[in-house]
Amino acid sequence: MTVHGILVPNQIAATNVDAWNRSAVSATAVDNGNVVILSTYGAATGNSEVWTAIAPSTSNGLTGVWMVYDPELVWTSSYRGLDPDVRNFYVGANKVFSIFHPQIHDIITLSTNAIATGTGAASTHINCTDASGLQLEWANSIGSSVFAAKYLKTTYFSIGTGAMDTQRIVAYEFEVVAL
Amino acid sequence: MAYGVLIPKAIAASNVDSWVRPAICTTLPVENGSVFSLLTKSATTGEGEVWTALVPASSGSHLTDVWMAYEPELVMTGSYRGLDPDVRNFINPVNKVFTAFKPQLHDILLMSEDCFSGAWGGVTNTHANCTNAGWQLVWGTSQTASVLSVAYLKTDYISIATGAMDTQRLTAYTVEVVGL
Repeated sequence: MTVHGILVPNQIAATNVDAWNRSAVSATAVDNGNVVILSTYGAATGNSEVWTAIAPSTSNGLTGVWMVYDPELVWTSSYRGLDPDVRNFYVGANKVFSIFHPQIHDIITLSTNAIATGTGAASTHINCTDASGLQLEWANSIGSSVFAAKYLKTTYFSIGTGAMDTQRIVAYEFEVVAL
Repeated sequence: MAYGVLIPKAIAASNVDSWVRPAICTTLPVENGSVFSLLTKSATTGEGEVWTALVPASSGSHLTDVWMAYEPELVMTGSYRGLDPDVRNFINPVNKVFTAFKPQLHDILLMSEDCFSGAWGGVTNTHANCTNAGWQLVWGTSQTASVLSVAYLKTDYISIATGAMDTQRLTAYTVEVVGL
């Protein structure tokens, strides 16, 4: 079973600024911690306040991204909330989800699965790249004119993993340094 | 005459006090949705915290960093306020203190067509920009660099008692701030 990304927004300005929170919908499934570009506004009937989210790319843009952060209520068939493991959570295609607009100096923590491999874990930065699509990608330097976050430290999330000795999974703390 | 009607649907200034200021204009009345520079504070006694609103000007690059008028629509009727319920008749009188906010990137605004200089003119007019000596944003086919600019998102309406038989809606435009 696919393990999905986990995001903990440690300190984000969007917590206090309502205008930096929006609703979006995507034609493909998304994980928390994914970054998206907003294309059209209110395109679907009944969704007049919902933005259409698409993957960042060179043509769609690698700056001005928004980040997916929806409450982790896992779908189990037609039911939500039966599965307590947040690693199983993702937003299905064409389902409305919450996003926020990261600001410089926001602190976020992402699990391993939320980040594309790139130059490998615990590199100096994660960048928005054409190749990595919805995920930010590990890199050894900040990208030029792209959304980027600086690696701060390796940490963990406490989750019921089922393991005998530890209930922790690896995660990484970042500071947003470029929009 | 109908004045501009502004509904700030999602603005950062709703949550950030320092992006809201009292302002005054000593030269002419100011409609809600108008943009202006706040470069100096009022020199009038008793207005120590009030800023003087100046028309945006190219000189000194004052087409950026502009503020927008947004005051509760209590229409003046003679010496009285609140007798006239039609918000289209509201304007901030000259030499009266009103409220201004600082637009931020990604703010969403709903502005009646009277807020703009000239008619929208169709989907080719993708942006409205701050221009020299203009209190109102001006529709254009592109975003002007280095000025306050909003992107057209959709044509909408504001429900107001217009007096018409068939509709009580006023044409408005939903826009997103894309340049400061």
